[in-house]
Amino acid sequence: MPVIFRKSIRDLSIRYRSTLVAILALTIGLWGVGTLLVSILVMSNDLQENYLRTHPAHISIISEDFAKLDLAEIRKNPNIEAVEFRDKAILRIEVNPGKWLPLWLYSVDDFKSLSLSRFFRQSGDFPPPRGSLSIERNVQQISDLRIGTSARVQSGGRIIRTTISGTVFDPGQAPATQDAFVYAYTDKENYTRLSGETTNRRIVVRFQNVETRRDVEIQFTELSRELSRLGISINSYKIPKFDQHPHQFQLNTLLYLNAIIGLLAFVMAMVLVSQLMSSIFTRQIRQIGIMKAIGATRSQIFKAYAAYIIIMSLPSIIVGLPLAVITGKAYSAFVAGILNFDILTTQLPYRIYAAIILLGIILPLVFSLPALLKGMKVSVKDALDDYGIKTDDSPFFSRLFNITNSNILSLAIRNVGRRKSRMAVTIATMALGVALFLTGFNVRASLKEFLDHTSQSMKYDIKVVLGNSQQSDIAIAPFSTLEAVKSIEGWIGGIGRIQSENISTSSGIGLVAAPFDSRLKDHHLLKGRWLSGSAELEFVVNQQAVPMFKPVTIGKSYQLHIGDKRILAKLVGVVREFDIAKIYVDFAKYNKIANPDWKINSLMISLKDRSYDNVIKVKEEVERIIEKAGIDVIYVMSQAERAIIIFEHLNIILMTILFLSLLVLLVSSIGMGSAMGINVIERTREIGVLRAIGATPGAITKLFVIEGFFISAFSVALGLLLALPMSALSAAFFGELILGEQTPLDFAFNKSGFALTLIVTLIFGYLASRIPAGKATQITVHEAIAYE
Amino acid sequence: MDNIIELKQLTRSYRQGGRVFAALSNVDLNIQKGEHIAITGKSGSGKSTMLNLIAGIDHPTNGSVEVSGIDIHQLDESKLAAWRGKNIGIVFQFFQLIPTLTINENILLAMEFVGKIPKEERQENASSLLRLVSISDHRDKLPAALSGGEQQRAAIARALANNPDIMVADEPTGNLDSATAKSVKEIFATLVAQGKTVIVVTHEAVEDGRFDRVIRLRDGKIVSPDNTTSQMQEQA
Ligand SMILES: Nc1ncnc2c1ncn2[C@@H]1O[C@H](COP(=O)(O)OP(=O)(O)OP(=O)(O)O)[C@@H](O)[C@H]1O
Ligand SMILES: [Mg+2]
Repeated sequence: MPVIFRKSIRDLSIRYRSTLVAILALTIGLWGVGTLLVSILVMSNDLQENYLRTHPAHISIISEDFAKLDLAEIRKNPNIEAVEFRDKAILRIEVNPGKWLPLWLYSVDDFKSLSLSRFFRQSGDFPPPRGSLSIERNVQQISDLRIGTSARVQSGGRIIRTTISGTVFDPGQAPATQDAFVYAYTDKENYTRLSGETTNRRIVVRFQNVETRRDVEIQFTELSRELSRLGISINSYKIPKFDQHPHQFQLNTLLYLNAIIGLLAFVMAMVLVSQLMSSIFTRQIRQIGIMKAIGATRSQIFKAYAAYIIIMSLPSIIVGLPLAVITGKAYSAFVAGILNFDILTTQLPYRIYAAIILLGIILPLVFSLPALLKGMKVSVKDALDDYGIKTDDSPFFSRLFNITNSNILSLAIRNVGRRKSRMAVTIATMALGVALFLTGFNVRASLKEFLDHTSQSMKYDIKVVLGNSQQSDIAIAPFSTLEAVKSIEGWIGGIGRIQSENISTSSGIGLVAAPFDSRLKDHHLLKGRWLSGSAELEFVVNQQAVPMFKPVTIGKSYQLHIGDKRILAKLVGVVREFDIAKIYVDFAKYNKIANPDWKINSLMISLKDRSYDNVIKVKEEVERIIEKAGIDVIYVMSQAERAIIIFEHLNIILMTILFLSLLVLLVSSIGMGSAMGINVIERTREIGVLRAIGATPGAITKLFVIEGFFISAFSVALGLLLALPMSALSAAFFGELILGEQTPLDFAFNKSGFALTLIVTLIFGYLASRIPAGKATQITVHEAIAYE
Repeated sequence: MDNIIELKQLTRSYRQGGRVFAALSNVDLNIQKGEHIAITGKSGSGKSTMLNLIAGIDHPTNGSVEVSGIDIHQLDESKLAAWRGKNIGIVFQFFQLIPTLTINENILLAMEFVGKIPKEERQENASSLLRLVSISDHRDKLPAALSGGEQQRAAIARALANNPDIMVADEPTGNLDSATAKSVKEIFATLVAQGKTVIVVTHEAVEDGRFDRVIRLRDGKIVSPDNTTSQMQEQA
């Protein structure tokens, strides 16, 4: 082995502490970026693959005339990949005693050969024996329903028992845990028995060669023509998001967060590496000078120190790569569990290993380059003259020095100003950590505020949606015996459509007719105003409905399809809410057009005591009344539970934010600790001199602690400054993601988060300076002075 | 005349707080092959500056250094380093050995950088140099384990590793006791006898006739502008 490499190895082993810190930093950086790469690769691939594996339907169509349809005829159409009858009924099922959840019940033609909208056997019998149900596997997490349970199903006011005979995995559904729905699959006979509806009224279709939603719409138009030739008229249809899992947005958020925060953490680790390298090279400057003096060329020296870096990279790759694979897979599995999909990737592609290894070697080289080049540029004479203590006081710090009268304090302040670039980097890194941590807290506060606002904006406590609309007094009567009720208001809702210039028809959009002056709902207006009592028919949409009828212009009239009626109505406002696309119209004016009997289908119950416990108690009472009176109900939902469901949707994101920002703060803390450590190492000789002239260990410790305090203080101030725009940007991003286009969340400042950050940073600043200073005062004065 | 080194109008100045200060100003000097030269003068007179410029480890502000007809400060940094490795052996006052390499390895490293001596001959060469300076016993020790005189002899061995024509030494005996200093001086005399050009900066008395010529510096200038080998008078 060339002597020069022997030197590299020996230098690294003699300074094994710095070497270990550098290897640690490299390992953490590589681990972080590797985890990121692996999990992004696995998750982005697997959720999509889980979903596509089901051969998702491009459209579902409902028609009363499908009974006379021969599917074999339709299958001949070359544009159709697959079509099946898949009736769907929304019933209710008792999940624990007294607690009912919506049941989405599907009838399946042939369990053994599902050609689209597939689901997969998990446990128990498959196909379910006649008269029994298979439930989606995640349902077990939100219910007591198990294989063998004789479940009670409510339908049209009756209660019917049916057995659960198995579980299936349906990656095409939003996770039951988040939406609080029960998905179940059964044979046609049992479907009719439970729902009271005939089968063969709904088909699911998958087209050939479609790539966008627009393609689907075109194919559908063609299909509807063919159907009408066959004498079939379509009642309604629904086009889901094109080839996209219903909760893709959550995954997108997570991937985005991973990418951004992981990248920042990685950059910090690399900054740390370059700092460590720079300190190593600083100590090597004199030796570089000697080697140049005896004839070493630049490229020879460069090779020698590149060897340094590679020697450090190798262990970091050996440790970091497997760790990254393990945690990347574990994190993917964790997210997959929450989003109810299976990890399908068993073998990672080789290119990802190659990429991580390459990153592990190239990046440290790149990040050490500035330090290395600086070390090589120094002339032989300067290198030989340098004794490692060189002050470069800036005028600013010198002035500070002059106006203070405590010698220790002024020395500490002056030291912050020394080695300016390292201090700048340390402060910047720490500030970035602080900023990210604060941003995490702030975004969390924004989301929390939004959730609180959402649940507060709904002034009713329990909403009962009836299966059939009824006269208001008849509908309300059974519930008049409820105690402690403040008021019950009747609304009507249904499916409406908007006709705009660009889109002739669109899938159904929730329509809610409520008294314009109802006190049961507060609105977060984004544009325009809420409904008024004016004679003209007005409507308001929520932000989710906006993309359905672009361009949206306040004050413009649009054609609304309500039932089979078409009417012109004026758009007066846009509200923001966490809900599916909805249109709001005034109850009275709606009734005049489409509901002459003033029927209602939603009971909005508000209570005197709005506490969670009371709401749940009253809700159970409501359920008893429904069961006893045999009322046909679609669902009963309390605001309190709804808030929990919304929170469930966002919780995984909140958790990730917090976890990742903690990680970042940790990395930047290590960065600060090591920078302080380098400081102390570099000044060991100076400390020795100070002690030789009579400085006590206490005074020296104080010197470093004050220095650490200044660094922390600067970092927090800078971090706070950085956090403000970052938080605002993130709030905007999350708003867009969760609520739809151009609906930012409100910026919120989390004071306790700031306090926590401040305390953590200061404590860390203290420790990061106290520990190395303590070590420096332990070695003898003689050793310290002799230190090179 | 067989000049191996020619200094022409050699100037090295430093900018200090806005003022320009010349550590060496307009020095002309010729050195012949095989000469044994002493550079003396008070502290701060510019001795090290001159030596560093000759060795090519510092750059002149003005003027030139020609060695065997090559204007060395016209070479780029890497060419200069390679040139230095081949043609000049440098001995420093503080030895400047690589602390993490053994004495033997320090010598091998110099050969490795320059590549003038074939690989298979390097260890043999190192061993004979170690014998020359009488520290064969210490070959596998780290520099820190050696006395000052032993370290300085190791440094001389390293300076000779690539068999250069010129040796420069900046106060090589300044840190050594007189007995050890004497043995180092004897090594230099041997080298001169072998035909090498040796330039030594020294504080000590130089009247013992060891040197062919003594160059005296004062405030960055030569005070005995003397080019002949015969003149060796003491200047007050
Ligand atoms: N990097 C520098 N910056 C400014 N001035 C310098 C620098 N290096 C040397 N000098 C000045 O140049 C002058 C000559 O220095 P030089 O080192 O050549 O002196 P010297 O004769 O070798 O002294 P000594 O016997 O003490 O080694 C001195 O006054 C010194 O202060
Ligand atoms: Mg000198």
